[in-house]
Amino acid sequence: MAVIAMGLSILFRIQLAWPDKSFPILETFLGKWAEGGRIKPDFYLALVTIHGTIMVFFVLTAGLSGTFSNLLIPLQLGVRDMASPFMNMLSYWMFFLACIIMMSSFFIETGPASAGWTVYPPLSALPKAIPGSGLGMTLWLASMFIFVASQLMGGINYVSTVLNMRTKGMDLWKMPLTIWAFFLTAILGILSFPVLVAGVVLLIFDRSFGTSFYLSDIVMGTQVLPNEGGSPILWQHLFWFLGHPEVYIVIMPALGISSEVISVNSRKPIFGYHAMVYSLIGITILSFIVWGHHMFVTGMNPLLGGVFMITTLIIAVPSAVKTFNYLATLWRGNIRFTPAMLCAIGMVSFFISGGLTGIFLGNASLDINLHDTYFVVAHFHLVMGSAAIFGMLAGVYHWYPKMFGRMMNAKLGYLHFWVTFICAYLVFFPLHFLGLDGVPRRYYAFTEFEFMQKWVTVNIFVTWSAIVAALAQVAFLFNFFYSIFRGKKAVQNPWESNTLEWTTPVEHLHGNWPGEIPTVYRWPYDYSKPGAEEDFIPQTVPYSQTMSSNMPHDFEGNAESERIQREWDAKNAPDKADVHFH
Amino acid sequence: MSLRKYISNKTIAALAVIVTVFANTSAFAQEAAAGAAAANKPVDMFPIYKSAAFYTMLFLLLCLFIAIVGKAITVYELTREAQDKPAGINWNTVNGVLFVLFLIVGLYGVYFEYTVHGHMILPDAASEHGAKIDQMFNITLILTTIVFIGTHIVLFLFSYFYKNSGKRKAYYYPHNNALERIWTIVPALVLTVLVLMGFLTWRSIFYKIEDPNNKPLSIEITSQQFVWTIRYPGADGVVGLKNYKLITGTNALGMDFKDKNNLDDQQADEMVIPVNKPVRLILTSKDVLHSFYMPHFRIQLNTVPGMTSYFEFTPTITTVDMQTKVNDPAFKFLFYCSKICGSGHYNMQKVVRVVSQAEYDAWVVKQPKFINNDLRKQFDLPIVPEAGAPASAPADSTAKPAKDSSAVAMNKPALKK
Amino acid sequence: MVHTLKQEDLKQEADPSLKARKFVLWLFVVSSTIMFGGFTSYYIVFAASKGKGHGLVLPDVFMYSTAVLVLSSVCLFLGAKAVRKQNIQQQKMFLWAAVVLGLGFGYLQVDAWSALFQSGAALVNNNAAISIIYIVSGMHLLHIFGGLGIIGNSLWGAYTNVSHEKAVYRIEIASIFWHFIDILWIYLYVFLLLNS
Ligand code: HEM
Ligand SMILES: [Cu+2]
Ligand SMILES: [Cu+2]
Repeated sequence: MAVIAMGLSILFRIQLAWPDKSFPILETFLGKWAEGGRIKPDFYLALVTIHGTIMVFFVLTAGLSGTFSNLLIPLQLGVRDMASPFMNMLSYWMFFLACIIMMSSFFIETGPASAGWTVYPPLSALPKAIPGSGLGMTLWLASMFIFVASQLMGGINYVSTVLNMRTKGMDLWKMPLTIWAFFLTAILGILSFPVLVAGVVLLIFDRSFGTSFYLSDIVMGTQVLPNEGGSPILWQHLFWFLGHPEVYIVIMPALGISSEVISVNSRKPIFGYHAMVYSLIGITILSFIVWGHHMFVTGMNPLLGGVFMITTLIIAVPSAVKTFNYLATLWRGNIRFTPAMLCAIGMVSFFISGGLTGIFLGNASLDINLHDTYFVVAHFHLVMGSAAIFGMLAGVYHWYPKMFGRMMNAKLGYLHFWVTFICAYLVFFPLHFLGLDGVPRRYYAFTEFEFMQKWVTVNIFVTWSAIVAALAQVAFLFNFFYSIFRGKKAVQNPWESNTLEWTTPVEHLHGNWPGEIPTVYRWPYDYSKPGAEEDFIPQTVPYSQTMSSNMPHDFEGNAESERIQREWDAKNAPDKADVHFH
Repeated sequence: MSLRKYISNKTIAALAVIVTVFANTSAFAQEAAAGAAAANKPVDMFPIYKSAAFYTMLFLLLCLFIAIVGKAITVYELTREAQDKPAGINWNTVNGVLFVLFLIVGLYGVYFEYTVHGHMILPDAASEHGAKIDQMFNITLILTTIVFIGTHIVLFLFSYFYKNSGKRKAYYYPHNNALERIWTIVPALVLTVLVLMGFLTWRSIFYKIEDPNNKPLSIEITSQQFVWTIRYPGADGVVGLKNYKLITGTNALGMDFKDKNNLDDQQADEMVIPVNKPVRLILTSKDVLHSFYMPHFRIQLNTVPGMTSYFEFTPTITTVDMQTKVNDPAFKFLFYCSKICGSGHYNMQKVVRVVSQAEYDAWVVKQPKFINNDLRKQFDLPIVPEAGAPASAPADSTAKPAKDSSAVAMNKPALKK
Repeated sequence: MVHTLKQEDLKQEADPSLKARKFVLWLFVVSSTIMFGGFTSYYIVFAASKGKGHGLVLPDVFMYSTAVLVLSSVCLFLGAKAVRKQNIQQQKMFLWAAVVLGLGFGYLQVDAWSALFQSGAALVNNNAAISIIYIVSGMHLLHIFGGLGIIGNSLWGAYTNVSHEKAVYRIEIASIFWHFIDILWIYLYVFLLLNS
C-alpha cells in the first residue's frame, strides 16, 4: 500500500512541477484521467485524496501500529498468543478487504473519492459537486467502515492482551516503552474510532437516503436541494474528534519504537523512563481535547477557538519532554549506528522540526493565515510523513531478524537512510515558505496566479527530490525481499538487547517459546550498568545473579533484598557500598 | 505460529498487492486504448516508450553501479578480516561524520531557506490585526528557530561524539528528576507566554468593539463553484435579506426584493475598499464549503452553506502604497479559495483594491445594482425604465447557471416560501 | 501488514485467555458506547445550535419495547443462574424466552418506526434531530441482532452438551453483552425523551 500511495504522490508532484507539460506516458497508464498526457483537475484531487487516505490509515495506522503490535506485544510481554487469535485473524482479513475496496475505486467510471482525505461534506456528499463523490465516495466510506472495524478488533485485542496476559514478573512498570506506546495507541483507537463510525454512518445516510445531517441551504447551479437544517461543521467535529487522536495513533508507535532502538543502540538506559511513560499518557489524554485546532477558521464560535488553542499548546509540552529525553539518552552513550539507529535519530530530527511548526499552527491567530496552505502540508509531512515513517523503518530494520530470522544488509540500509533523510528534508522544508506566501494546498496548478509563478521552480526541485527519495526506496525494498531469502542468518540476539523477544529461538515456533515462558525480573533498560560484566542485562536475569551491579533502588523498597545486597557489598565491594548506601 | 505460516501470509499479501497493481495497469491500459480510439487522436507512442526505456535503463545502470561498489566494499572488508587486520571501514565513524556534515550543510541550508525563500513570502500585513499577527509570528519564529537549531546541534553532535569506539562503556544514567523538571517547566512557561499572546490577539480579532464614529462598511461575499459574488450594501449601508430558495437563473444570490434593503444593493467585480476604514465581511456559500482567503490582510474564514460568518478588519495600506513598498508596479491584492471545493478550486480569485476614501466614493456609485426589470416583474414591483447603468452587468456570474432551465423549473415551487 | 496467529495451542495453562477474552468484550462495550456517544453528541450540538430538538412525543411503542427488552434481560439473568446450577432444562427455557423477547423487541422497534413515519416524522427530514432517532435505534437494533447471535451460541451449547466451564463462559459473554444493550437502549430512550 505504501508503494502505491507513494506512486500516487509522484504522479501529482509531476503535475505540480510541470503544470503545462504533457507526459503522454501518463495517458498510457491512466487513460481518460490524463488525456493528452496531462492529469485532469478532478483526477488530481482524487490522487491527493487517495494518497492521504492510504498513507494515514492504511500505511501508518495499520502498517505501523498493526504490524508491530502484533509482532511485539506477544514477544516482548511473554505471551504465547493474542487474547483472541480469531479476532486477530478477522481483523487482518477485514483490513485486506478494506484495501481492496479502496483500490477498486480506481476502476470505476467516475473515479475515486476526491474530496480530500478528510472528506468534508457537502463536497463529499454531492456527486454533482465533483464526480468522485459518486460511487467512488461510496466505496471510500465502505472501505473506511470496514477498516475501522478491523482496527477496533485489533486494538481491543492488544489492550486485553497487555492487561491480562503478561508473563510472570512483567508488571506494567517493567514493560518496554514500545509496549507502552502500542498499548496507549490501542486505547486511543478504541476511544476515537467509534466516533468516526458514527460520523460515517450519518454521511452514508445523507448521501444515499436523503437525510440532512450535514446538508443545508445548498443550491447546485440553480437547483435548490431539499436538504435543510444540517450543518457541515458537525462532520468536522466528528471527524476531527477521531482525526486528531489518529495523528497520535500514527506517531506514538513510532515514538515507542525509537525509544527502544535508541536505548539499545546507545547502550544506555532510556533517559527518564517514567517521564517517557507519563508523557505518552499525557499525550493520550490531551489528544482528545484538541481536535478543534483543525477548525479555527470554520466560523465556529471564536471562544472555542481560544480554548482549543490552549489545549493544543499544552500538548506540545509532553512532546518536548520526550525530545529532550531522547537527547539525554544519546549523551555519553556508546552509539552503534545500525540502520535502525540511523532511522531513529532521523525520526527524532523530524519530530522536532514538525513539532515546532505545530506550535505555529496551534496558535489560532497565526493559523488564520496558515490554515489550508502548504505550511500545513509541510507540518504534517514532517511529523507524519517523515517522523512516523522513519519510526516504522527503524522498527523494520531492528526487528527484521526477529521476523525472518535473517539480517538485512546494513550498507544498503545506510544508503537508503541517507538518501531518504536528505531528500525528505529537501522535499518538505521549502514547502513551509510556499505556505507563508499564501499558497493554498490542493491546488491543481499554480498557473492561474501571478504570484505563484515564482514557486514553480521550487516545485520542480521538490518533485525531483521526491523522485530521488522514491527511487531510494528501491534499495529498501530490494534489501527487504532479498534478505528474506538470502540475508545473513541471524543470531538469537543480534543487537544484544534486553527485551524478551530476543529470548525466543531464531526459528519461529508456535507459542513463541519452546519451554516455559521466561520470567521477568527487572526493567528492560539495564544497559552498561556499572559493575556488570557485559553492557546489557536481559530482563530474564534475576538480581541474585548480578550482585556486583545491583543498585539500591532496584529493589523497590524490599528490605530483605536490600539487606542481602548490603551484606554482599560489604564483603565484596566495600567502595560500592559506600557510594550507594549513605 | 510457524515461520512458514507467517511467510505464506506475507506472501499472500504481497501477491495480492502485485495482482492489484497489475490489474490496475492493465485496466488503465485498456481504458487508455478505448479513450484513444474514441478521441481519434493517434499519438505516436514510439519515442515515448523509447525515452521511458531510456530512463529505466539509466536507473538500472545506477543500481548496477551501486551493486558493484557494495560488492567491492564487502570484498575489501572480507580480505581485511581474513588477514586479521582491524575492520577496513568503521561504519560508526562514517555515519558519525556524515551526521556532522549533515549538520553543517543543513545549517547552511536553513540559512539559505530563511534568506532566499524567506524573502519570497507575503509582504507585511496590510491590515490592523494583521500587524499583530505578524508580530506574533516573528516572536514564534525566533523562539522556534532557537530551539530548532539548538536541538539539532545537540542531536547531531552527540551522534558524532558518542559514536561507538569499542573502548568506552556508556554512562549509566537512567534519570535525573531535576533535569526532567526543568525541561518540562521551561517549555511550559514559554508556551504559556505564547498562548497568552495568541489568546489576546485572537480575542482582539474576533471581539471588536464598534466605534460609532467609524461604522464598518459591510460587504457580502458569496461563494459557489467556482466564482465569488461580491455584494455592496448600496446607499443604505445595509445588505438586504436573501433566501437560498429564491435562487434562479436571474437571481443568482436569492435576494428577496420584498426587502427594501435589497433595492439598492450593488454588485461588483472586484473588491474595492477605502483605506483605514473598518470593513465587515459577510461570508456565505451557495453550494459546498469554500474558504475566503485574503492572505495579504491575514484573513481567512470558511464559507459554509447554511451558515453566515463574519470577519471584521481594517485595511491600512493602499494598493498603490503596497506597489511601491514591494517595488512591483503589477502588485495586486487578491482573495481566493483555500478550501478544496472541486475541479476549479485552483482558480477562484478576485482582485482587491485598497484606495482612498475619495476614490472609493467615486468608484462605488458606478457599480450596477442587482435589481432589474425582470426581477421587478417577478417580485411584483413597479417597472422602472432602463437607466444609465447597464442592468445586464451582473451577467458574468449568473449567465452560466441560467442555461439550466430544467433546474429553474424545479425551482418554482420553492418560491412559495 | 498484520500477521496472524493460529489458535490451536492453549491446552496447557488453564486459559488466561478466557479472562482476556471476556475483557475483549468489555472493551467492545466501551467502544460501542462511544459510538453512540458520537451520535448523541451530534444530537446535543445540533439541538444546541438550532435551539430545537426533535420536538416529538415519542410513540408509545417505544415504551412497550423497552419493557420487553428489560424482561428479556431478566430472562437472561435467570438463564445464567440456571447455567451455574447446571439446570439445562431451565437454561433452555429462559434463553429461549430471552431470544423470543429479543425478537419481539425488534418487531416493536420496527413498529415504532412506522408509527413515527405515520405521524409525519420520516427518516428523510429537515430536522436532523428526527432522522437521528432512526439512526440510533437502527444501530441499536444491529447490536440486538449481534446479541441474539451470542445468546444463540449459548443456547446451542445447551443442546450440544458443552463442558460446564464453557457453558458458563458463553453465558457470561452473552449476559455482559445483552445487559449492555439493554442499558444502552434505556439510555438512548431516556436521552431522546429528555431532549425533545
Ligand atoms: C507539537 C505538537 C503538534 C501541534 C501543536 C500540532 C498542531 C497542528 C495544528 C494546529 C494543525 C491544524 C493546521 C491547520 O489545518 O490549519 C495540525 C495539522 C495536522 N497535524 Fe499537527 N500538531 C502537532 C503534532 C502533530 C503530530 C505528531 C502529527 C502526526 C503524526 C500531526 C499531524 C497533523 C496532520 C496530519 C495535520 C493536517 C490535517 C489536515 O488538515 O489534513 N501533528 N497540527
Ligand atoms: Cu490535530
Ligand atoms: Cu475552493
